[in-house]
Amino acid sequence: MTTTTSQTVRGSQFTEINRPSRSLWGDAWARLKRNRAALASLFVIAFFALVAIFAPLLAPRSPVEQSQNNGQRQPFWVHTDNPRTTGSTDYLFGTDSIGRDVLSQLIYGSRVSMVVGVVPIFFTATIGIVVGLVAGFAGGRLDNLLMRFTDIVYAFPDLLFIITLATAFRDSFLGNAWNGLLLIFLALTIISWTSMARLVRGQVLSLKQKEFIESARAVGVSTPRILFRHILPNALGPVIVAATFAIPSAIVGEAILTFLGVGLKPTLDPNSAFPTSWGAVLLDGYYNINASPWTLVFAVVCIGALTISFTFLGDGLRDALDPRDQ
Amino acid sequence: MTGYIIRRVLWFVPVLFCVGLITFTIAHLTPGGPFDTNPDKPLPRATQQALEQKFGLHLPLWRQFVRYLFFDIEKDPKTGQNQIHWGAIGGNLGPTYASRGAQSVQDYLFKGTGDTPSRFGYSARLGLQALVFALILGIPLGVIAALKQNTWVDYIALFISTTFISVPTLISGFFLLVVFAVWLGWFKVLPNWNDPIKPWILPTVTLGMSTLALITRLTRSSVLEVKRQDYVRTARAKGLADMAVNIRHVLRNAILPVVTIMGPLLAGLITGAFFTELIFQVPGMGNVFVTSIGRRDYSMIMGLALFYSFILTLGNLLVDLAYGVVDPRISVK
Repeated sequence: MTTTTSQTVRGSQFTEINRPSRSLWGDAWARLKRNRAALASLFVIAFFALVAIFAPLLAPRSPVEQSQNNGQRQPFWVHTDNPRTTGSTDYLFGTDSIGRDVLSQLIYGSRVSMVVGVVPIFFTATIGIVVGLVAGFAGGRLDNLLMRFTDIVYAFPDLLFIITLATAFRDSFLGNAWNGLLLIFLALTIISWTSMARLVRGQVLSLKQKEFIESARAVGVSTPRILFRHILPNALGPVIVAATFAIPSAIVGEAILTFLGVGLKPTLDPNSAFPTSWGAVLLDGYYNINASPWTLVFAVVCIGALTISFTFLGDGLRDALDPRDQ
Repeated sequence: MTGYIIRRVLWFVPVLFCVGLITFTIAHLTPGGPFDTNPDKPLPRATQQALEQKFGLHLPLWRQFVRYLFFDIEKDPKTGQNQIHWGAIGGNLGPTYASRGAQSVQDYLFKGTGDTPSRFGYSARLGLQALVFALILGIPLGVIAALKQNTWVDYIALFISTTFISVPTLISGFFLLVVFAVWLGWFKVLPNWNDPIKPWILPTVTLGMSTLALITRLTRSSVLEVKRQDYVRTARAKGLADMAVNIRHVLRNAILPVVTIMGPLLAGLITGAFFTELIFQVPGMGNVFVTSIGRRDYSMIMGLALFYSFILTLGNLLVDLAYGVVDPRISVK
């Protein structure tokens, strides 16, 4: 339908263009689809999401099952003289230092990375939007307080603060909930909501001056309705972009925390939904870097693929949602 | 302008105060004291008391905080006279828990022994090297990309910078380590830090990569903007050679934004290097931080957090001031 009309237009015959109207979001989606890097990233992310959801079906073995005399087996294409470590198709990506299947660990690990990427960002966005809206709209003392608070948070090196929090509360109730995931969520949210709030505030401040808000006021729309029906949808684009850019650092943050031994608590419970994470695989690979560097490589490739995909998606979203910036 | 500088410098005080308060609170909310690191072997009561005395842990919390951050007046146990005990404000970050008070945090961080530099020295050198690496490669790359806009040179530069910016040091560091140290064997996984050059190469590249990308982008966009200015056209019109225009008029103006962000960049490189230090076993501050986490050495963690925040705030302050000085178009209130 659309193509035929555009062809006739190109053929310089004036016909009435009667294509279905597209919303702003539809426009953005169309622009995003044209961005090949962003689209490829979307596929990578979808792939990891599917792997995370169907981990129990996909994993060839249990990620926590240890087998004796089977440690540090090489991936299946690497052959050594030692029959105990030579590659075997039973363990496609080899085994870690205590004989757990690396591939299965990676498959289950994708769950943690996906969840850690999405959940704290959701909280961050929610808190950031509410505080930013209120501060930007109400202004005055509240606004001042928020700005001063962000100044303080900016003074902290992010990762250091997260690590300090995670270390301090590791043995408390918080640190034990959900294998330590709750504490990771909290630490990541605390450090990142302020920049989101600042972003929303800036949006609100500039939108507040626009004519359509003035006209909404003039016809007597209530303040909450102006906030949520008129200002928020217009401020949402940059928020989505910022949230997408924040996901990679959350994923890397979890990997670093787990690598340092203060993140996810790897468990041997076969029924756990989050038994291990890429950070844990990374750690094992790093400790045995000379014996089996492949374990490290696999973990690095997984984390790298997912984080870079989110960054490219963020780039694409930015161009798609705000074409003026190009 | 002077008023602005004074106000910005004064703003330092509450920020660092809050940073101190937050880290202090976290350290004291934590279950367990600093000395019960080994639950199987609790310290004898007398030792515990002596240690608490030494660290001032018997004091009320507010007083501990004031003592840590500012000062405290205490009696000298020998002479019985009152004397001032200076806190962080006087450069005293307190004794480290791990050494049971035998060594102070600032000595541990800033004092080298003999020929070996201090922990801070290692981190500072690494940060400086990474910055120099990024500048030396990034500025020419950005300039060339901008002067040859929309050619393959430009595209390659853009591709490199986009990729490098999005790769976290976690990825690039391990990648370089596996490829160059394990597979190719050019470097050692456990480096010998007496060697003045070789062990520094991989961490410098790892740390400098994203900064390199940032500087390339910044230089490129800055040169692109300056290229279109009237004074550049004037310079060309009066018959100046291409090279002279590019260096004297374009580059000199385009370099300003890069110069202004160098302060925070260096601050970020020094404070943000801890994972790079960890991967390549650099004996710097970042490594100390990780070790003190394992030991739950809260005085060290607090001291480092304060110091890092100090550097970061200083860097941010410098950039704000530099913008005002370098570019009068930016108004400062």
